[in-house]
Amino acid sequence: MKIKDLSRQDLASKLSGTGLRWATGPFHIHLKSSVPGFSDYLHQLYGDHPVLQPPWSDIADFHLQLNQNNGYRRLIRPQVFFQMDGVNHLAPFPLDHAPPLFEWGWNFVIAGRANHFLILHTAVVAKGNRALILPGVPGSGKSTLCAALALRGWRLLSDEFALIRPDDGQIAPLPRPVALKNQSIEIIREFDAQAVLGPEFPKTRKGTVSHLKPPGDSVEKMSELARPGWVIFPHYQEGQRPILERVPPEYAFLRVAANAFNYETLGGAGFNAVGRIVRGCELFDFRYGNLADAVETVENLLASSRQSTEATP
Amino acid sequence: MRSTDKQPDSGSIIVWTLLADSPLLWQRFENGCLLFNTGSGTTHLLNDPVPDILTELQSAPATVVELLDRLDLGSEDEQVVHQLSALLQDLDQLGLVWPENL
Repeated sequence: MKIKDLSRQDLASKLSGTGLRWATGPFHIHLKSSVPGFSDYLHQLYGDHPVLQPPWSDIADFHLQLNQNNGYRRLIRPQVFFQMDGVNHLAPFPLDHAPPLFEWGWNFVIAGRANHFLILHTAVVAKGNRALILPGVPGSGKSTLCAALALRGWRLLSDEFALIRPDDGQIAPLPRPVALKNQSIEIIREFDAQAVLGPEFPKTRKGTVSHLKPPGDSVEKMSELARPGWVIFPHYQEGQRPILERVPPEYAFLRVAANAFNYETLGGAGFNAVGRIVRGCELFDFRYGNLADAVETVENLLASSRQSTEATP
Repeated sequence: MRSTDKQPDSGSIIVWTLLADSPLLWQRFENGCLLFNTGSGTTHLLNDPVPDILTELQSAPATVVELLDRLDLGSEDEQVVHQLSALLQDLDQLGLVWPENL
């Protein structure tokens, strides 16, 4: 059963009762929420995710809650709190901003807890089982480029994390809604009129945020691991024609390591995992100023990589 | 031992030792080398000839002159000797090597 197979009433009832348990990539989530309207967000944006059935429904990696204020604050400028294991982890948001709080809160606990992976702060998409890693600082355009590629048939692994298994270097997908900010929302609407976007949340700390629903096919294949094939460091600059420049592996190593949440926590395993990524990937800096041009450039890169791979005896 | 192995102030002999009770991990590339010191948790980007110097010291401690001989860099040139001494002091600052006075 998928989340969208539940009626909105049943979904709201589960969330406010014993909680909803579902799977996203390698994680099992248990979420309770009585926040009005939050179930609609979940129904729309997580509709393709599978509801966990017994015996898996007894196990969860994250026990999360979205709670409202008590007392008079429930009436005056009400707020929503993000909790894991009953503990508040982030400052509260206005009650009508529960979805972005949920997404950021979940990011926060993954980054802090999932240390069985090397966690890169990056968008990741894949063609087949070969992954394109797009590490970038906020504003570099990684989520927008990731969204555009996902809308052009690339498999969405994540717009936020590359979960690298240290033992074999494979990436575990985590297909969740892609967080688009400010002008990126309109850019993606114009890029693909069929894109399913959730409600807009204005005046967050990152401006206006809206979430792109992950493609159903990406959710369907969320158990299929991907091998890193390319690392592209995107740099959006208005008016910039697309330019790909190779990055020497020793410098790419430092940039990938600096991009990880837990490189130092993993010690030697993190060092070896980053080395494996750098050795197994083509490495580029990518400057661009137009999304359609950027997608075409990346597609061409893929095609040329395939040709050179096929030409290699 | 030669006079160039001696500290100017004390005249004692310096033998350089790799400071690594914990294993060192390497990632070698064409134009650079990454080293992870599992003892300190620090990653270093090293250019030539530092990887070779550390590899030599890993096999056995050495004075500057012995090290130059082992690396075939020639120990006759005073300037080269002083450059390697300065480099070893930098590596000492990074916590990778240790000078022992004999």
